[in-house]
Amino acid sequence: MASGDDIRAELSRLAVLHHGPLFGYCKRRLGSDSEADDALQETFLRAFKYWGSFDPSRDARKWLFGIAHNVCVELARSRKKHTTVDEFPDLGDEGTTATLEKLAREEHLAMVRREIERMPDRIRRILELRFFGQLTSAEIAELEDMTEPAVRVTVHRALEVLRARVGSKSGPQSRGE
Amino acid sequence: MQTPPQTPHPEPHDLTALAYDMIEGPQRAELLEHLAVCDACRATYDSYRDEQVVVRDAILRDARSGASEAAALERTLQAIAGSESAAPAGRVYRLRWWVLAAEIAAVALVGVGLFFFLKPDPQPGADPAGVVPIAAERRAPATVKNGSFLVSEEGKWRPASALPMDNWVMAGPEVLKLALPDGSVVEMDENAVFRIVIDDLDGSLALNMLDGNGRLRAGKSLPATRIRAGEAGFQVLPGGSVQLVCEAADLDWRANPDVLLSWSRPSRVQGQVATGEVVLLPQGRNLRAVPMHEGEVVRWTPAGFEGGGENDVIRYMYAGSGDDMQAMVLIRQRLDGMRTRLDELGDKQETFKVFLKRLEGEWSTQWDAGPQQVEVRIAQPMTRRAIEADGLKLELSSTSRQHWAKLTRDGKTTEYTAYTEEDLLKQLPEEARKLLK
Repeated sequence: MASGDDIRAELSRLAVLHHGPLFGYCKRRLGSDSEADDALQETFLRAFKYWGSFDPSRDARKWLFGIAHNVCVELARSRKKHTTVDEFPDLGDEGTTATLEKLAREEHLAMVRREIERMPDRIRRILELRFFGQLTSAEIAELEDMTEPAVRVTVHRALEVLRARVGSKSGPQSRGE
Repeated sequence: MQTPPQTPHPEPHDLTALAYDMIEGPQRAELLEHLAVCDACRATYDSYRDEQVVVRDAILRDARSGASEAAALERTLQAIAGSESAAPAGRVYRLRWWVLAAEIAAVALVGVGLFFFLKPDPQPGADPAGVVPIAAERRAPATVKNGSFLVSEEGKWRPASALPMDNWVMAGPEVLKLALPDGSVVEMDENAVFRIVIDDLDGSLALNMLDGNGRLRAGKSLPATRIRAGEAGFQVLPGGSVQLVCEAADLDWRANPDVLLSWSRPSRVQGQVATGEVVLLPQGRNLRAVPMHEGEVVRWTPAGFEGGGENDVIRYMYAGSGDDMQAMVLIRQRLDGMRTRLDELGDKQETFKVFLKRLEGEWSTQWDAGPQQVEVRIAQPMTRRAIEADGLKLELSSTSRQHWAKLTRDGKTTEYTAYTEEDLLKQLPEEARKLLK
């Protein structure tokens, strides 16, 4: 069984390796550097506490993201932060084939950011777990207490909304055929 | 023409998940197999991949903060090391505040079980063994602006409480950015191995690189830091920057940093002046410093110096080929140019002016010896002519590599010498130049 010092050494190594994406994820979830700082510390304190339950054959980065995710959810809840959530519009068939080719330009990127901010919090969480934590739909499903197909369908539907909104704001030339 | 797909078209949400790299294992392989033979799905997938890049950038951008990240890492390492470590009071207070709030809520709602879930592990007398403590006197005078690092300690790469002097350091998975006291900025790419030392040349701060990519960018004034890798050392002039690419071949240092103790030189080094001007400071071969310009490159391999691009100066100095006299002329011109530009930058460049003066002193010795060597070896025929008028006598002689003038007036003779005819003419007094016209 690993000693406390061994665990601390390994966690310190993991902190050096993964603190950047973890910090980014926490900042994105909580909104400020100082809160992300707190969440990062708490993530590793919990990792220390529950080291015995960590399966070394698993990816430590994903395990840490799971902890960070829970920490952020609890922190946001305890601080009574509210997120404005837009309802999805009824798309029909129009938006499903919209193309985002022109989004490479900076103004489109800003537009996409604004649209992502309007997404339901759960969708944003899923996308953030994907990009910061590089988690798969199965791993995200476990954290979000969803089935894996539900994660994929949810993400797909949210992106269809995004495609439609950005496509309509970009003018008719950006609409897919 | 492609064969029709043998498998049914995947669900749209599976294509999205594939494009967003959310699927692994056999299902991913199946989907890719289908895409290989289905143009329609492939086109959709491609558009989703393009979209994914935009969505990723939209989410990741601005979420990172170099200085805050570095500070957060330091506090996290302290938190891991144990409650006895001296974390900054403000941050620990905030941490305890909300942990306590969560604990109280948990106790009220769920019971004692969750209390222990959220409570930081008490570690009476905990030894912060995970983090290598770096005592104040061992710390390098550098501020970490971004990224993270490990230090080699007892055969392992381990986190440290601060950046140490005279100790090999490996940059973390992101660019490690350091600010140095002289205003210079150092950037070390992922896994680059380096150390901060006092340079034995003159006691200035220096960086030694062993492996990976690194850059040193000088500030606008008074930078005195050097960067060295193997035979190559670089002093960057104000506003300039140099990029180093080093390979420590055949060394499994990532697995065993102990090998660093017995090997401290990279096997391959490429140094390139990225911007501005840089002085190349060779080491260990009794070679002299060489001023370099933007874009110039030097390379060393285990077999010796390699290349140098179109730079006659460097090729001559290190490969023993090229025009030696031309190289010396160029070096003198470059040193003069550097000094002129330092003068233009103002009064705060005294460090560099002293540095260049010393270099000029070195090169003057070489300069004096040069013409004799060249003249004897190359044995160029010498041309001579003499002009007399108005009580003046001007005698000119020249080879293809050197020009002399002897001016006699009222029985008194003055001699002039230069490596180009143009430079010689500049030295002559106006009355002598009139004779030539």
